[in-house]
Amino acid sequence: MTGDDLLILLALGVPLFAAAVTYAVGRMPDVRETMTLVACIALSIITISMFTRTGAGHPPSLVMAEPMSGVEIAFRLEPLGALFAVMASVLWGVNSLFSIGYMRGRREAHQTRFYMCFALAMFGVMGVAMASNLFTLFIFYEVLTFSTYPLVTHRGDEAARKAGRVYLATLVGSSVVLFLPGIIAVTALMGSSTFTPGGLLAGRVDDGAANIILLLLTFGVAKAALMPLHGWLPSAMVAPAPVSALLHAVAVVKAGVFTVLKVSTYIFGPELISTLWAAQVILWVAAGSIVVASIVALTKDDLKARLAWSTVGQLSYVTAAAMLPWANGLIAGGLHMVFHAVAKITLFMCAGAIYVATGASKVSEMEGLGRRMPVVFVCFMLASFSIIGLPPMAGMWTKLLLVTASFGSGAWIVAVAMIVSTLLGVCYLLPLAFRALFPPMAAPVRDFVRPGGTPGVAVAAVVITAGACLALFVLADAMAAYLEPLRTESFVEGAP
Amino acid sequence: MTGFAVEANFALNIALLLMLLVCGVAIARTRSLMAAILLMSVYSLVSAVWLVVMDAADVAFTEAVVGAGVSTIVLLGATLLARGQTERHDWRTQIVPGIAAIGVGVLLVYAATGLPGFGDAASPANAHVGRAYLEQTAQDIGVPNMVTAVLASYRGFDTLGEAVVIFAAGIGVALLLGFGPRAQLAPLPEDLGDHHVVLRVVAKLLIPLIVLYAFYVQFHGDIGAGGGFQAGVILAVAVILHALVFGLRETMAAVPAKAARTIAALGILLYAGVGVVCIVNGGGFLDYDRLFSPRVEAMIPANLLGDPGQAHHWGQHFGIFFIELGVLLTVAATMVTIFYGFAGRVLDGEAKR
Amino acid sequence: MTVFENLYVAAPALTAQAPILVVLAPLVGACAAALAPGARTGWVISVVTTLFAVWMAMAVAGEVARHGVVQYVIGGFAPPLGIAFRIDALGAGMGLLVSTMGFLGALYSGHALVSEIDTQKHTLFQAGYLLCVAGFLGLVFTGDAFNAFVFLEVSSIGTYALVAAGEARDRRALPAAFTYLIFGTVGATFYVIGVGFLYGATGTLNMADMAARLGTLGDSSAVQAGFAFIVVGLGLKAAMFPLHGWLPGTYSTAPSLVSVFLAAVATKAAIYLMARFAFDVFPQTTTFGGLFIKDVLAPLAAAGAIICSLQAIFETEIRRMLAFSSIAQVGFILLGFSLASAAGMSAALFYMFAHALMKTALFMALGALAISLRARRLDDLAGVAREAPWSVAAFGVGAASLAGVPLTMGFLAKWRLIDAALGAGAIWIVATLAIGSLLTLVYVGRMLEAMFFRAPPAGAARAKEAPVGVLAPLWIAAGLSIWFGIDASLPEAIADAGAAALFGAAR
Repeated sequence: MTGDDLLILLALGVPLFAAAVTYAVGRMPDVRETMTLVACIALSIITISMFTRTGAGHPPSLVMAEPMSGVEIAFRLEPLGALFAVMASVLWGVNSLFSIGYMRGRREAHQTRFYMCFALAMFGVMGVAMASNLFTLFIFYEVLTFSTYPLVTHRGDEAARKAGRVYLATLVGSSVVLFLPGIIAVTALMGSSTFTPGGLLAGRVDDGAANIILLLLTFGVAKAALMPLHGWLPSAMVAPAPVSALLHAVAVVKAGVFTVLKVSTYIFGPELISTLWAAQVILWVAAGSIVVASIVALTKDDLKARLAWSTVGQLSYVTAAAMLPWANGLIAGGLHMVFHAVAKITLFMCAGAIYVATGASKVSEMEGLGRRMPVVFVCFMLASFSIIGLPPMAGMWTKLLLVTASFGSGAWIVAVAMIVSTLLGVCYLLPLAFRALFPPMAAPVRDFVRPGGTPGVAVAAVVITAGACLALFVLADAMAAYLEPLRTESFVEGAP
Repeated sequence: MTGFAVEANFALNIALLLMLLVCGVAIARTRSLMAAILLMSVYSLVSAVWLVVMDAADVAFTEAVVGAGVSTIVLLGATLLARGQTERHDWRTQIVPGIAAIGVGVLLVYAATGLPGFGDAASPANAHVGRAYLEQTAQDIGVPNMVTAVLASYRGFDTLGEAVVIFAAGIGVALLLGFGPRAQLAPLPEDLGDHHVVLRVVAKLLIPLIVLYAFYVQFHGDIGAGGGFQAGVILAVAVILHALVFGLRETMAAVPAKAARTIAALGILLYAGVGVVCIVNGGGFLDYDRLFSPRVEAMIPANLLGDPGQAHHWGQHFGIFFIELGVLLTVAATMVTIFYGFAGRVLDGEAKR
Repeated sequence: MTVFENLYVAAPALTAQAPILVVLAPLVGACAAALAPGARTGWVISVVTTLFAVWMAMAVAGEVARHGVVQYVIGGFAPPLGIAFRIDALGAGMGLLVSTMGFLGALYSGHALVSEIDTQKHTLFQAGYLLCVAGFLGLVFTGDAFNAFVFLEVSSIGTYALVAAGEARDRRALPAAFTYLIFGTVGATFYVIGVGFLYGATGTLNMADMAARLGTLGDSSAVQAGFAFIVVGLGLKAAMFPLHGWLPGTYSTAPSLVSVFLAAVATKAAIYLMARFAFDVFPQTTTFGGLFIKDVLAPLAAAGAIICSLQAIFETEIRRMLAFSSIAQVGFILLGFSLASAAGMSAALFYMFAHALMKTALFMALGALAISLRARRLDDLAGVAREAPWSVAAFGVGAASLAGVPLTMGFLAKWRLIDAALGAGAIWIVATLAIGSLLTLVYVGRMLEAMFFRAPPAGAARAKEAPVGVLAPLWIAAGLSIWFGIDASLPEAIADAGAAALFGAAR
């Protein structure tokens, strides 16, 4: 067994092991949470190690099993996946930190199940990130769906169960009815579904089939929340804040847009995409999603719902980027996936921190709260800047890149949609932060329902991610360079 | 055939067909279970007659014995456990079955147009395998009755399967009805039954005759119509008659239920055992030619069945003998088991009282 | 079947007799069980004879892999005069399936029967069960159309009684068995009428000979009607929509062993025979056969797959849910079948194997729970995962396979079906399969949600974990569902070889 194999097995094994240990020591909260944090750190080290190897041109790869000819469970890192893995594992750590504060602060029930499902979800994410073909990706995609279901229904009441049903029905339904037939079609046509630089299907299928497969593979990934398959995301807001933070910033939705990016890059390839009418259709749908979601976000008073609708719009940015007939769009999409993740997790953790401390979940209840909890709201504002695309936050770069890429490739409708949504974003995010920090009059400020406000670890987590939004502003160029191989024909030696 | 014979034959066919039709309609119409059962018996008997007209003596024999005979007895036994009337169904519930029945009838008539004429010597059924049986039986098997040759030897495996079907039916009835409380059909009190004296005396005379006839049918199967199935049923009728006249307790003392089940299983084992012996002696399953090793075969006197000059086919003769015996045992014992299952069983509701 | 080419499990002399011994072992076992002195002896006989049948079936599979087709002449008369077993890769694969399922069922019956059947009836029950196994084994091996009818009857007569024996636990078993008997008898009668017409038209009962003679006949009305009767008759036996009326009652009220074996084997054997007639006996040149399969069978199968999945969703009794699911799955199998191609047949066969394993696990798990819990409705099973984790986990595996969760055999089965349908360009079949799979997910989700996530109602009777004797066969079936989901080379090879035996070329 080489080091490469070991890394991949470890990346899959650590979360599984963490889940098992969490279950085993469930009666000892301190041990349980320490083990979770240790696992986060170990996983981060592993993914960073894989990240550097991939960057150096030695991507780890491993074939685990081959149930049928042409259908194998295999892993191979590539820049996008490596980036996704690092992002997910690091943010898992931060989110775990926050979870500890939140769950203890709220004295939630079923905490062991909560941490266990989190670890299992990370197992799914790692598999999705490292998958070397659509089949493997599909398996872990479903693992992710099912492992997050108990998290969505964590509260266990009727509303949570209803949301859980919507969640499962949409995600599993679309993946079975659309995504899976798409995968099978690819396998039937090509003999395998391996991600191939330059596009597996490029130049090898007729346009009709390619159009249909593109529609199946894009709309089948309901995790990317492209309208009209976005309904599960707002309804999943019944989950506790750490779950929303992980689901709607890191694990689930990002796995969705990551899949769309992978499909676009490695199954179709920019060249093939540029010739398909289906890509145009998706671009229009994405543009529509961006605008509609932003408008709906404006109308929501519940903070988490507002953030969720904002996410729906932001995800469509990435989907649109994947469909642009221009290879630079892919890099911009990949970067946006990361930057949005960091910013959105900050926002959700802020929402959670506010809820723990004051019990307030509505935007209208937060007026003036900034004076009681300044750190949280400053972080909230920084992350809002990043989402909107204001300097000096990381989100600025990708917004710039995406808008220019859209114009450059003639997809002006997308560019217009993005600009409109940016303006709407200013309207639905900034007033909240400003009104909280600088209330117009001496309004009565809510008291803390929890003595001492938000637990320290939770605040620390918020500060870390908000700081990351700033740091990534500087690192954006390096990351773009890292993703550069996406544009080229072959990025790995001896690629299939 | 002369013109008169053809016409007479045609008239006979029409008459029998009409009788069957009348019986069928009457069975469907009647509300009395007893009447339906008796009409079904009549139906079977008419069918048997018709089969005789078509020169299918073996089939006719079986139909008469099984269809008109023992199944009537079993059905009558079953009616003892049920109310004697059927309920009238709403005609609407019978639309779908009616359409299905008409569809099947139409399809049957349509199919019949594609079949060769009756008795056509050039038809595939008579020209291909059928002709081969006619030509080769004497040489392959050496048994005069070709039906027996086909059933017991050429297609002996089917016959094993059919015996197993009977056995399975017996197992099924025993499983469902063979346990639980039951009222013994006690003999009628002596003082009550003067007019039963005749019955008992006649039965006592008849039963040995029936048994004797069963064995005649059994061992005569090589030569004329008959064989293990018919003989088994006739033998079972003797036992059933005994039970009806002398009471179930007496009969069960003579032939216990457990013994009947055992005999049924042994019959199958005998049949399958013949096949296995053939395997052991180097042949295939049921390959009677290999039933005896050459050494054993040489020890059989050549004039056992008369003419010592002909080819003997001892293996075929003895193989057919043994498997027919197995069929006899299984069929007779199973019929008795089925009868036991019905007879004397009390209704579940009454058992609880 | 290249995987079996080096499979020499028995001495040559024994291997030469293996085809008949496969059938003979349970048959003789049935007689022995009927004579057995006690329940335990009956069970041992059942296990030993079915295990022997598995062994011999493996020997047959090895021979078939080496020689292509194995013909075993019975009675010393070569067909068409005599009866012969004619076993190709398809028959050998089915033989392996039936014997293995028979063995698992026999193993399972040791403890499972205790709670369901009166102890004094056990020996007879085992006898009936073994007859049923023998019937199905003979059915898949025989090369003679009428002999197939005889074995069809052997298995059917056995099962009617076995189903009715469920009355000890559920009185509805009696009407269910009666309905089954009526449907089954009509089906068998139709089959034998069809065979009769074919005999009238060809003068032979041997399938290969019949096929050769039909090739020269063309479409005569007798042949057409014969085909129709055979397909409808076998459709009744296979619970082909809309001829499935007998199945829900039968599966839901029979003793669990019987449900297991029927669900795993009975409908498959009928589909096997239907395939044998449709693709082997009837020459591919006849137009009506092809028309029938494309224009009648395929839409009916699709309708069954959708409608019965919906019925399963709205059902409240768990065993009835599984029964409706079985009809829907038969629809899936028949959809693969109706593609009339090697790929379609291979996918259908693979699906049969997958479905046999998953339904075995599901019904066995319910039987395991039934030992301690008299549960009929799904709600009665709420939260049962906590009380009997091993049984319910195996149920979960079976359900996952049924729903087509990746890394289970059911997933690959659906994959192959969709793949085959895409290859044939039948988009509507792909759509039907996708929607059917989704509906399957819904009712499987309902079951799992109740068992794993719902809290048991207060004061309800609680389940206990089943004994090892029940868990062992249960987990063999569940484990195989997973194993073949990760490495499907074995069932894939069998399915491909079976399809190639009918269509000449693998996919």
